[in-house]
Amino acid sequence: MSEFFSIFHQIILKTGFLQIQFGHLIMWGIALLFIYLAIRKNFEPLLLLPIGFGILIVNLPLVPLMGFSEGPEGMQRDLLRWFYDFGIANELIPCVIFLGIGALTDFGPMIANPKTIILGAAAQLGVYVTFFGALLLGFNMKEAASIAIIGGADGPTCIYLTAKLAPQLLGANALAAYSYMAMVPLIQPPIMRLLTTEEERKIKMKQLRRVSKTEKIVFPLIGTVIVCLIVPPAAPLVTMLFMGNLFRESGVVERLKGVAQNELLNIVTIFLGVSIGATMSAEKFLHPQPIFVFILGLVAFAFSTVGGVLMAKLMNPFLKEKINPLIGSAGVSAVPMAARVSQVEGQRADRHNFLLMHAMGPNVAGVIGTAMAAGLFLIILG
Amino acid sequence: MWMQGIKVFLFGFGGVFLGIMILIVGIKIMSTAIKKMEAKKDERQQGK
Repeated sequence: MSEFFSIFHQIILKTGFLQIQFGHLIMWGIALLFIYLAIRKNFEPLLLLPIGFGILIVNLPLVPLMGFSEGPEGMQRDLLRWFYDFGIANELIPCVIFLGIGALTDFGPMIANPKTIILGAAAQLGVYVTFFGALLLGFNMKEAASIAIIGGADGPTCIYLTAKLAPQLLGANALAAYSYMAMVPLIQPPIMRLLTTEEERKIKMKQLRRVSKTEKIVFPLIGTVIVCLIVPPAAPLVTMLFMGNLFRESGVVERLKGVAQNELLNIVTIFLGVSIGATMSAEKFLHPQPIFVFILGLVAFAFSTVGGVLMAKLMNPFLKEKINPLIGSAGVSAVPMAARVSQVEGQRADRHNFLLMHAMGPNVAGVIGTAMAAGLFLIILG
Repeated sequence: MWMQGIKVFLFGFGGVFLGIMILIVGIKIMSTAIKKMEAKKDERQQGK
């Protein structure tokens, strides 16, 4: 009988029930919140759903998922640790995602009106303002840079830079970046309205010229060479982006284009989401630092919007054909949601105003601008 | 650390602008060259 109780006692000790701590319960709450936002509110569901699930499972006590376990040949990685080490820590997944983004992106509006690229640069203001904010809150230079890049509103770039400079902040940074990207339609409009007059919001822009197929094919080649020569550390991201775009525009590799923008992108998105979620164990996440990251992330998004809108206003006195300042806010990557916000706000002021294609220029330029900002951080601090 | 921060700001933000300006120049040159090439091609085809 005592042997029976001894075995029973051992089994009980090896279940997770007795190991549950208050921190786990909080993290389950956070996980369920993200799952709820993804399913019910449709906030970036492709990422928030696997991230939420990753948070939930990594906060179940005693589960061999994100650490190392005894195997036949000594210690070996647990399941999610494989995904993390070989997908995120070594920059593979962010770069593969950029390949897919390249295959999905039409750079035509940007090529047709290159001056709107300046808005993509100005929208990096939030990155640098937040950099100082993070320093003020006591983060070191590398941590500050990795938090600041949230303002670029570009998830893969944020993950790429954080994995290189401050991997301990990866979960918080990625989560803040994707959460705020999902909330672009809530964050940007009040700032856009505050900084523009009714008349400015009604500015109608001339229809964009047609961009030839040759231009669209040559652009990814020129873009690769220029950006990689200026910021070589950004090459892993930028080369993948432009290779995906070359697949798209060349018209001769439809199968590769299809795989890059569908199957491959979807597969790595699963691994990305669940691995990011799995970095957020209660022991690592329940500290003041992640809360600061979320506050700074919001500041970054707000200032990036301000930078883009103000730059458009600043450019207008020097331009023959005025720019609607509402498209400046699209300079924060978040493709294509930020461009859609410009369109919606433009139509609120004048329902006959169509800004979407004009906003796509700064929007895709923002992706390049953020990759450049990340590359420059790596040159200066790496 | 603050001086280093200011350097990061100046070289970082300035660098992004400079990079973007070079990209704009690159796109302008590319578009002009391609437009000229295509115009010549059209002329040749009309000549035939």
